[in-house]
Amino acid sequence: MKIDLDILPTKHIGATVSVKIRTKYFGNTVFLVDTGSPISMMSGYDLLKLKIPTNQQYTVDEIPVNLGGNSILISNELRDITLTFLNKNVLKLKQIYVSNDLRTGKNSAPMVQSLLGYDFLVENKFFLHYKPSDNIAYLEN
Amino acid sequence: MAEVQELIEFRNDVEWFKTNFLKLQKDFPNTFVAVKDKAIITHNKDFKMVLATVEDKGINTASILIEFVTKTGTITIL
Repeated sequence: MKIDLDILPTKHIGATVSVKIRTKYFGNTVFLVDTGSPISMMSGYDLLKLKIPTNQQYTVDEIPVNLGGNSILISNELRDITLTFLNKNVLKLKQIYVSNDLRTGKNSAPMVQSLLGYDFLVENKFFLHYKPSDNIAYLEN
Repeated sequence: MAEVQELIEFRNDVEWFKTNFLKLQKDFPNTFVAVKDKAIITHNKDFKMVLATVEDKGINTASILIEFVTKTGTITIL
């Protein structure tokens, strides 16, 4: 399986993804692929945009996360997520952490983007191919 | 597959956002913009106001692109 990634204006690589959670909540978003993040995480902004309720049963003890100089809190997790990619590939993700933290630090941009982290790459046995000089980026397993 | 067709349209808006990022930086610095069919349908510095305006237009927020346009192109080291 091969999944093409975009190189975004911020010089990050990301995948355009349709997200389906328990078949009920569905919408489109962009995930950054972040090999340095041990967890996959949905931002509080995507949580609101996709109208995903944070049921109490999915509440976890708040975990502070440092991202690009911002510190945010993870407060929930979602399970059994289906990700549909542009090339119609469908992947399952057992768990994704959720931040409902919309705070921004002084003089810093909000952490808008959701992340596909190391756990996603391991779970799906992906290689990450990335050649920024030629604008080439893709996942392959 | 309607889901994929919607995703293709979303991807086209992502591409449009990338292509027009420099212009958007001038026009909408440090602002959230909602993009649909390669056009800005609303913008605001308050994310929740963007969501509310999109809903008022009868558009599902989950289907469209909403991005934050940084004024100076923030460098984020993840």
